[in-house]
Amino acid sequence: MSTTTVAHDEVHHDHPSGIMRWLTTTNHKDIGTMYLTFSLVMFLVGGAMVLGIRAELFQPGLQLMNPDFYNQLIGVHALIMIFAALMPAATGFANWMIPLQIGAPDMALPRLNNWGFWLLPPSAILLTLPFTLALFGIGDGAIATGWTFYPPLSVQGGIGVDFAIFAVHLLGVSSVMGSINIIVTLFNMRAPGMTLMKMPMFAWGWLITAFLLVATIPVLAGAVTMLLTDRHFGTHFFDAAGGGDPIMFQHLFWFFGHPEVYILLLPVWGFIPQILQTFSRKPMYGYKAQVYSLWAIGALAVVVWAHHFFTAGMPVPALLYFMYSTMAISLPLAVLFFCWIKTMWKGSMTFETPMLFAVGWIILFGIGGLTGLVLADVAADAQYHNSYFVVAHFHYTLFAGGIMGIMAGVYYWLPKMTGNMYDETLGKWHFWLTAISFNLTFIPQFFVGLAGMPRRIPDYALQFAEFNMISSIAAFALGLSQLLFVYVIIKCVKGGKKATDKVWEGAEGLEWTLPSPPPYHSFTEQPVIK
Amino acid sequence: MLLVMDCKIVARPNNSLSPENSLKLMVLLAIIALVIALGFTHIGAWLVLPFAGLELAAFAYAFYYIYLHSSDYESIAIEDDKIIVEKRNFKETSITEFQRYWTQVHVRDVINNKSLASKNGLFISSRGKEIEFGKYFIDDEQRVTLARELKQKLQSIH
Repeated sequence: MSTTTVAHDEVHHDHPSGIMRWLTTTNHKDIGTMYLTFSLVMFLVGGAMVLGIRAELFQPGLQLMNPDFYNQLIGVHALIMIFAALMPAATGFANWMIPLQIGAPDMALPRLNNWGFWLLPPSAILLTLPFTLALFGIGDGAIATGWTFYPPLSVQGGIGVDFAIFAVHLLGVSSVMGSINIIVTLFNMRAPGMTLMKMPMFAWGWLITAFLLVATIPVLAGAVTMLLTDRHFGTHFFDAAGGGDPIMFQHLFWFFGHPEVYILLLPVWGFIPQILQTFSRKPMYGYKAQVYSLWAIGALAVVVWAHHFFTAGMPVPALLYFMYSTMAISLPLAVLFFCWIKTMWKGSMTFETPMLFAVGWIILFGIGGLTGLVLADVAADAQYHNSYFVVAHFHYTLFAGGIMGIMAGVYYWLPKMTGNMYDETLGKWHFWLTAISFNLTFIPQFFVGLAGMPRRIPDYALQFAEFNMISSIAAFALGLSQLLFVYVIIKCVKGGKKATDKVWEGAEGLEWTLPSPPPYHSFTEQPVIK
Repeated sequence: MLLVMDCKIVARPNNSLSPENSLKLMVLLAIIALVIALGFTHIGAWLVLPFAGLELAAFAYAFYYIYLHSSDYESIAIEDDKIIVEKRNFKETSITEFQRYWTQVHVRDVINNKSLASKNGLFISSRGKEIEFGKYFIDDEQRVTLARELKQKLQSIH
């Protein structure tokens, strides 16, 4: 008897063209492309909003908008950047690369994958529609509570809050669908011979992300639903006058909100080491140490949430616990930094654009991590809480650590995805313009924050004027630099020098064994890992 | 001279997760989600619990779905003067028997304008009865190879 094990069931043999291809596709590469395109569009939308914010902050005093509209821009900018730009970008890479990296022909549940994506555009519409409705006199604009939905402000807010609650529900459903698919795919569809400890680091990063989503999305969904019932159905979950507790919302929100940071960053921590090893032409250093560190960070992520509201008041033992547990995250993170640097150590390094972004990412994300350590200190946090120092800190983690990481991934995989090399000169220009303007935008915000400038305020004292002016000019430079990014991508998609299968000399992994671009159905013959 | 060669060819999907391990994984996910949801329920945020339940139900269905599909297979067995084609899809198993002496194997073009995937199909037919083998589990190249091998085995009895 002979037994043949062949590639997994392929459920999509029809390949419609035109718009129906994108509406009905179950192909992981098509869906990945849709996620990445959606992410890029929403990145520009969220970026345009922040340029409005920075234009208002160019000078002290109210210049362009009323404070309520300013607050709406702040809240929707954050929600869009987190949920509609950064998360879909990471999911787009997961869809594109995880099946290729583990030797699977597609994701395990392709139809679920399609639904997961198509929930995103309605969510983005729900988030931004209140702006348009307000122009026609319907409602009072978008959510103006910041992305945190804190009651009682959110209970008292206008219809923008309801729109945001439903948007968050749709985004949550989409995220759970994505995590089901990732978990099932990674456990069930690995090529023969690919044990868990042979999985690429990107797959590990996403696996832990998926577990974090499983742990936290129901909490967010429950929290915003309770908010909804407080607003419209007479419950008092968060109303102190009715026996509720507004601080409970903060616990619920940040139980989701803090792991969300790692949900955004873990996929990046997965593929950055792959980029470092490729351009250092050396094997990744400390694979096992990195995997265990990612798990340690994932576990710590769900037990440190209250450091986001030390100043709300809590018992001293709780303050101490949350301070020390937060600081403990720096230990596995230090292991990761060590491994990333050691991967490059004495390597034959070259600095193509992905490597420039990866090295720049290590430095800038390092600043984000270290300033986070400052904020984890209860005594120091009492001074810095709610100041621009916090804004600068989380932009070093989420813009530098998140978005610049994603940009590294885009440059790294774009030739594989499109079959064309991007314009290296323009890519390098994009890196330097982004890195310089990013620092010029946010370093001044550390200074004004340390000097006491509060966040989420459209006006400020004269003493902060110069630094804010620098920050606003640099923010516009940062925003305009991203148009270059869009141009480089479009140019690469349209044509350019043909990419080889391996693309990069030092690239390792199954995705580089396929042609560039990979065929519509990736692995028709099952690869075997030795 | 009649040469009878016993032979069975099985095509099935690759599953790296055993049913036992998928159960363990489901239990782990349930522990994570329920411990958290019950904790928040304890402090009054009981609306977390139904969402955790919905999430786990979705996971359970996903694992059940892949479990049912994990035992999908298609096989061809040549036994004496019979060719037995067995197919299992989801919960259904079908068995088709052909008379070995009258059976033909051929690869036919099944491409249509909309399809960029499989371009041909492997068909086994006899006396007006026809069945396609390996529609989902094998690719075009494997179909051609398999058809050649099957033809050789069928010819060996003539």
